[in-house]
Amino acid sequence: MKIKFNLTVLFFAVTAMALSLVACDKRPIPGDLILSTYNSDMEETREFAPMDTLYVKIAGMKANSFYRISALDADNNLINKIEARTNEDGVIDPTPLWYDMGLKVDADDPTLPPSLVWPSGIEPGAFKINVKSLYDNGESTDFTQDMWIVYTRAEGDTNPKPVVYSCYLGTPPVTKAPGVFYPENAFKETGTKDINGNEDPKTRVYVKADRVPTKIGNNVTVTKVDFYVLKFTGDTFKNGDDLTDSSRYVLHKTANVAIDEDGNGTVTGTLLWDLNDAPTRINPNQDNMAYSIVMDVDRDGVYDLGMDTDSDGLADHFIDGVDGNGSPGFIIQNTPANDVFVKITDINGDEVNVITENNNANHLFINIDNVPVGVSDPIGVFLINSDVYSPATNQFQISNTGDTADVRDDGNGTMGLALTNPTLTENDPRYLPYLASTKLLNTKTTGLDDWSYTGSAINVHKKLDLIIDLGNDGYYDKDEDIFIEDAITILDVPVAPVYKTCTDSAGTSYSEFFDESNTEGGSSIVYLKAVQDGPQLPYNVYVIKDKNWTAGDYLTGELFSVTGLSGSGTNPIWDLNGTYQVINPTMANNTYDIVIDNNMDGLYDAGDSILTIVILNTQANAYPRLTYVNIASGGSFGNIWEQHWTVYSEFCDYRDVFIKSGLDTNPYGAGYGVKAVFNPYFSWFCNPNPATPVAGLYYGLYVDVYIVNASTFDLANYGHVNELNDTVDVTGRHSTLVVQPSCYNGAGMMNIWKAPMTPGSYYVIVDVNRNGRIDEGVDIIDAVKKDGTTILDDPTAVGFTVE
Amino acid sequence: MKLRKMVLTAIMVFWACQTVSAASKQSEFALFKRSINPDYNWGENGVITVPKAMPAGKGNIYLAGSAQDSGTVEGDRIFLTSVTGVVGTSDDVEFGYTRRQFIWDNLDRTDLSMDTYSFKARIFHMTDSIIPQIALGMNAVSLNDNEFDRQEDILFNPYLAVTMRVPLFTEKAVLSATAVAESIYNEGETSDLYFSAGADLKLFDMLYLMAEVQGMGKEDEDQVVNLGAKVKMGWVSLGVAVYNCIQEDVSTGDPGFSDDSSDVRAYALVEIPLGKMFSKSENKTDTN
Repeated sequence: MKIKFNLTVLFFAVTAMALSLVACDKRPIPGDLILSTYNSDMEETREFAPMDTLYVKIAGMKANSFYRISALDADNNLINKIEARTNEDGVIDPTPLWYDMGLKVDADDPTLPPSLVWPSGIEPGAFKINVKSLYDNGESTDFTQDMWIVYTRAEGDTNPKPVVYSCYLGTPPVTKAPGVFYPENAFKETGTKDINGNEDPKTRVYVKADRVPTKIGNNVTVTKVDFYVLKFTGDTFKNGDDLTDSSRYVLHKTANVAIDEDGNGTVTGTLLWDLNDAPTRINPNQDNMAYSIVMDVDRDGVYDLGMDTDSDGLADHFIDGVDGNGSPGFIIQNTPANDVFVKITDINGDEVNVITENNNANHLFINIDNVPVGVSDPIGVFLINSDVYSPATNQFQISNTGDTADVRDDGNGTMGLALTNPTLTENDPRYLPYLASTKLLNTKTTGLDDWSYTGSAINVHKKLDLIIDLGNDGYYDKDEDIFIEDAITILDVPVAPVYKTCTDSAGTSYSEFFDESNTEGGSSIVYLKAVQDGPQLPYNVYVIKDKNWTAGDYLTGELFSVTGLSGSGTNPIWDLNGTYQVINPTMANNTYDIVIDNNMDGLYDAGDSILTIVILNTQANAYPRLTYVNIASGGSFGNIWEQHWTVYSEFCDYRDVFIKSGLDTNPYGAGYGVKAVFNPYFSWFCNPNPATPVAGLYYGLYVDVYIVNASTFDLANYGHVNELNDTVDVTGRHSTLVVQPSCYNGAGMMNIWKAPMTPGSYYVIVDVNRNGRIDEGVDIIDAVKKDGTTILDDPTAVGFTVE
Repeated sequence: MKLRKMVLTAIMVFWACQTVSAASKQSEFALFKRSINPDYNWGENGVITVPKAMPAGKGNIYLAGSAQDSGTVEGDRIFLTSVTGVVGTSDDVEFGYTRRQFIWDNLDRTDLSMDTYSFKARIFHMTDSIIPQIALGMNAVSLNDNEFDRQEDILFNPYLAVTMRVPLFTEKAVLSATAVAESIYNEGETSDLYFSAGADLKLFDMLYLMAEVQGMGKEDEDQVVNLGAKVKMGWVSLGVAVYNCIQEDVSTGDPGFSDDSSDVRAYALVEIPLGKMFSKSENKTDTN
C-alpha cells in the first residue's frame, strides 16, 4: 500500500510538472499567432486542393522591418520565399507564399514543365516555414515551424467545388512522352511556332476538370457537360448568369463532353480552342486576351453555382465549375508571331529614315524582322511617292515591268521597285525569316548604282511610302502586303545657301545629321555657319519641328529660339545635351527645321531661310528591350474613384501618381503605400527557372522588386553587375515576392514602399532572375504612362511619381 | 569511427539501394508523421516514430516529452515541444494524448499548439518472443484549428504494426524489428498506403539504440532514416533522435549523414509501471 501511494503521488507530481511546462501564461503576441496559413479562400485550414495557394501571415515581429518568409520542403530545400516589411504592429498580413501547391515535377526529367497529379484519395503534405529577420541577418529572428496539410479530393456527401483548369497538350520536345497535359494559364497567339518551327502546343487551349459532380438535382446522373469560353470581364460569375448571352460574352462553346471516364468524375484533356483555326487571335491586346472557362454541368446554358445545404450562407453543393472567376482562367499572349518589324537605318546602324538629296552616297538600309513568308519565297520592296497613295481605294497597281519602274521617278505617281527578291534569312524556326541590313536607297548623282535616286531635283522634302509586296505579284494587297506611309524622307538641301549647319565650331563639317542627346563622342551640337557677303546683318533663329512652310507663317510653336546673332560666323545653335534634348527619336520626331528670320519679323517670309536637320537615333539612349508594364498600384482593387484606364488596370488599381501620405491607398499588407501587383495579362516571353528544379514538389518562383529614382538611375545605362542593390532602392531594401508558376507573371499584392513616400519620379524594376542586373528579355520595368506609352516611346515615362 | 561505420552499414541495409530524389512524397510523409505522432516509449511501444505492436501494458502509464530547437523570435528562443501521456487500459490496449506546443525559453506558451489522440490495440500475441505480434492503431488530429467537434474536421491515421522480438541469447540483449503499414483517412477518403520499418536494440534494460526507415517499397522515392538512442535509469529515460539524417551525396550517389535536412530532438520519459508492479506484487503474493 505504501508503494502504491507513493507511486500515485509521484505520478501526479510528474504530471503536474509536465503540464506546468505548457500551462504558463501565454506571451502576448500582437496579431495573435506568430504564423498562420490560409488557403485561397482565406480560410485558416489544413485542407488544400491541388493548385491551391498557400497564404501566410506573420505576427509578433518588429514593426516596419523586413523579414524573409520561406517555404521549405521536408529536406529543407527552398520551395519559395517572400521578403516583405511588417506594419506598425509587426504584422505581415496574409500574403501568397506558394502558388499552385501540389504541382509535381517529373522525377525522371525535372526540366519538364510541372504537372498536376490528383491524389487518388487524400494525401498528406508536409513542409516547413522559416521566418528570418533581414535587418540583422537573422540575429533576432530565425524561426522554423513544421507544417502539415492534406490534399483532398473532398468527395463527401455533397458536391465539392469542381476544379476546372486550362492546360496544353505536351508534345516532344516539350515532353518526352506525348499526350501529357500540363496546366497552363498563358497561351500563345495564332501562328506562334515552337523551337522546331511547328505550331506551338500552347496555341491550343485544352481543359481538364476534376471533382465534376456526377449527381445533381433530384439524383440526376451527369454523363456529359458543356464548356464555354467566355471573355473575361474582371467580374465574378453569379448564380443564374446566362452563358449563352452572345451580346455579353459568349465566344466559344464545346458541348457534350463526356465525363467520368475513369469513374472519378473527371474530364480528360479536351480541346476547347485551337487558336490556329477560327476564331483566331492575332496580336491580342488587353481587350481580347483574357478568358474564363465555365463548365456547365447541367448543360442548361446558365451558370449554376450550387446550393447551400446547411444554410450557412455559403454554397456547399456545387454544380458548375469555373476557371477564371474574378481573375482570368487563361490569357493569350501577344508573341512575335504576327509582328513585322521594319526598321530603316544608316550605315552605322543608327535608326534614321531620312537621306539628303544630291549626291549622298551613304545608303539607307532596310531591316525587316519576322517576314511572314517562307525563307525562300520571293518578295518585292517598293518605294513610291507618298502622294500617290489613295486611302479611299487602298489598292493600286504596282508596276515592276521595266527600267522606268524604279524609284527614280519624277514624282508623277509611278511606282518604283527598290528591291527584287532580297535574300531572307532564318535562324530560329520559332520566328519567321528576316531581312537584315539590306541597301535600299542612296541619292548619288554620279556613279549611279541600283539604289540611286535619280529623279529630278526637289525643292521640298520628298516623302516616300514603303510597300513590302509579300505576294510578289506587283500589286499592293491591303490584307497581305505591308504598307508604311512616309517611310523615307529625301531631304531638300538648298543649293549654295547663306547658312549651313555644321557639326564643328570651325564651320568646316557641313551636315544635316546630328546625334541624339547623350551620345558619347557624338555630334550633338548643331552649329550654324553664316556667310554674309554683303553687310553684316543681324538675324534670329527658330528651331521648330519640321513642317510644310508657307510664306507668312508665324514662327510660333518653336522648340526654342536664338536671338542676337549677326553677320558671318559659326555659332552653336542647339546643344542636344543641354536643355532641349532629343532622346530615342523616331520617324515622328526626328526632323527639325531651323528657320533663320533674317528680317526678324517673327514670320516666315521672303528672304528667310530654312535648314532641315535630322537627329539620329544612336545607341546612346537605348533603353533595355524588355517588358514594360504597370506594376505600381494603390491596391484598392475595383475602386473606380482611383486612377484607372483599362478594364484590367482598373481591376489592379495601377497608378501613375501617388500622394506622399499614401492615405488613398489600401492599407492591407503593411500599411499605406505603393503596392506591387503583377499584371497577369501582359506578354512576357521569359520563363524563369525555379530555384530548385528537382523532382517531387514543384519549387516555386520568386522575383526581386526594386524602386529606383528616375532622376538619378540611368535606365539607358544598364546591364552592369550589381546595378540593382539596396542602395539604389529608394526604400533602402528591395522586396521579394512570389509569382505564379503556371503563367509565370501573376502575383499577389505586396507593399513595396511604405508611406510616407518621398516626392519624385520612380521606376519599378522587377529583377526576374534575381541577379542584381537588368537583363533584356528577362526583367520587367514599370516605366509606363497612363496612356500605355512606355519609356521606349517617350523618355519622360516613369513608373510613378509621388507628389 | 567504427560505430559510425556500423551504423552506416546498418542503414544501407534499410536503404535497399533505392534511387534518391529530394523531397519525395516519402519525406513529406515522414515530416507529416513526426508532426502528428505521439511520443512513444522508445524501444517499448514504438521505435521513434514507428509504432511497435506492443502496447504500454495494463495499468502502465508513461509521460514522455520531446523538444526541438525551432530558432528565435525577436531575440527569444523558441522550442517545439510535445508531451504525450499514455495509459495501458488492458494488456493489449493503450490510449494516448499528445499536446504539441511551441514554448518560449522562459517556458511561456505561444499560441501555436496541436493535439493528437491515439489508440492502439494488439490483435495478435501468442508469445513475447520470436512469433510476431500484430497491433492496429489510430492517431487522430484536427484539420480545423485544433477542433475535434465535427468528424469531418478530424484526420485519422490508422496503421497496422507487426513486431518481432528476438532475444539475443539472453533477455539482456533484445532486438526488435517492426514493420508498419499505414494510411490516412478523412470523410470517406483514404490515402495510399505508406510503409515503414524500424529496429531497436535493448541492452541490459538500460541502453536502447533505434533506427527506422520511413517510405519503404517505393522504387522512385527516397526513404527517410531516423536514428535515436535512449538511456533508461529506473523510471526515467533520456534520449535523443536525429530525423531525416541520411541523404544521398549528389556527386557520388552514396548515402551519408547530412546536417542539411536533419532535425534533432531531445527526449525525456517518466514511466510509472503500475501494472508491472501490481503484477509483481500479485505474483509475490501468489508465491507466498
